[in-house]
Amino acid sequence: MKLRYWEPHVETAPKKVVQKLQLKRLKHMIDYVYWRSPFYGRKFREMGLHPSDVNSLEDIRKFPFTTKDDLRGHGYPHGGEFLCVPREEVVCWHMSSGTTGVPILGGYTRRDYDTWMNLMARCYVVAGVGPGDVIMNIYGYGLFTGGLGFHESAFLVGATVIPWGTGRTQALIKSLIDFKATVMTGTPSYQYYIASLVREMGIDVERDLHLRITMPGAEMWTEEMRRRIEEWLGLKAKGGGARDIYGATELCGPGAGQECVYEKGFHFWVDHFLLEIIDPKTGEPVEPGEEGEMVFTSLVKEATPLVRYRLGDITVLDDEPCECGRVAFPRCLRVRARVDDVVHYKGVKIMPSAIQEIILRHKEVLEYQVVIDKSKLPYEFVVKLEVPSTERSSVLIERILAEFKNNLFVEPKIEVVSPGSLPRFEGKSKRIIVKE
Amino acid sequence: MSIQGGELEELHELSSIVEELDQKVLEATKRAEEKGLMQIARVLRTIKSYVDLLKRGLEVKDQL
Repeated sequence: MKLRYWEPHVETAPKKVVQKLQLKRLKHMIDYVYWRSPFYGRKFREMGLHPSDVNSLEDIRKFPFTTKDDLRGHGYPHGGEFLCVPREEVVCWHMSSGTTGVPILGGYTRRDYDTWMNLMARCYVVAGVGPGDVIMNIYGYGLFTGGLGFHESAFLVGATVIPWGTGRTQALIKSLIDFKATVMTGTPSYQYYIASLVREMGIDVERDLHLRITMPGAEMWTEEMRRRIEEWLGLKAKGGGARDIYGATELCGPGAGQECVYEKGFHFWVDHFLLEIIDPKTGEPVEPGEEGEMVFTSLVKEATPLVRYRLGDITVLDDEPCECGRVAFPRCLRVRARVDDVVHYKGVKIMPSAIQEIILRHKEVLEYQVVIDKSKLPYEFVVKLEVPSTERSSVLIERILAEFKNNLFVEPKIEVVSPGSLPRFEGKSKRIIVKE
Repeated sequence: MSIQGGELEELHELSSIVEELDQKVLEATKRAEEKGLMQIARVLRTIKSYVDLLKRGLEVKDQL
């Protein structure tokens, strides 16, 4: 049976109804953290704020932002001053890799965990996954929320999951065929790598591959990359597609938003997270249709809820009703960058997505790497492109160079390299290297 | 698709069943704890978490 909605009574509720629900939950949450989180209790008191100050959704703007630095400084280990329940009630911790310092934590009570699985089940159904599907889960299992998040929730929707994790990519492709997998998770970079290998191996995707849907997430990607993944894996021919999933450790893991079958950006689950889009410089709200930074407030989390947390992801909100019927759940057009990943070069701000859009628009280019060297003068901006020898031409290079100049206002040095010489990624990609 | 009158009534009826279930699970947990039946109590607490999830999902009907 094909499911259209996981929770139809919630997903198709009118906007006003969901807003009333949000306000009820927001009032509860502000009161909850005021009394239970030492961090928020102290901060709100210092600012003269009280739970009774929340009488409308807009009142959230009276409250201060929470940042990654706050979490690093006051939330480690065991949630620190953000923990709102006795430590014994936390059933698990997930965390960021902590490569840049103290890890960012996400704690779950039993109810938080079940709520997360339920949201993930909602995402599966929204993406078009249902009973009978075979899911190849290629997110890493471990501290990263991806692996486990996609795993147990698959049972809820009646699907079968193969917990592959990452690595052994050729064997993975064989298993995709042998197990007739219909769904694949994973970062867009890993999906792209798999899709390019499938193409290289000359696999007849219509005959041998049963993949219908992929759910890329956890990093920036572009329409150009989507087109290649869908085409190379033959997803559209089977009535499916590559559908964006959104999440972050601080929210709950993956599952905070999911693109539906219309593929016009991911619906954000505003019944669980109050969403604001702000100007990252001023902190003021921006209008739907304008680019801004995502900020969320937990509405139902128990262990480590956050208020006005700055995710650092840049997106554009589209609150026009979607054909899928989820009218109360606005869509975020694909995340264009993390604030921290925006490249600053000779006074120009460059989004990594803008670089990818330009490069992957050219079908001759298989993979790329950008190296920006600011450690010496003059600065260097080198774009390395993998292009098969049969498809190399000066016209191609000139076209790409012109697009960089016209759209990004930079004039990079372009180097064409042999196919297979640049790194491939099984997790989050690192295609832009900045040397300071 | 949006919630129709009949479906709202159905949601209310389901909600009453879930509420009843909640009470029964709470009572059973308490009794299991009193008797020192910890495995049963723990499984019941897991069930309670799912019951709470259902209650939260049904909360939307109160805003209609």
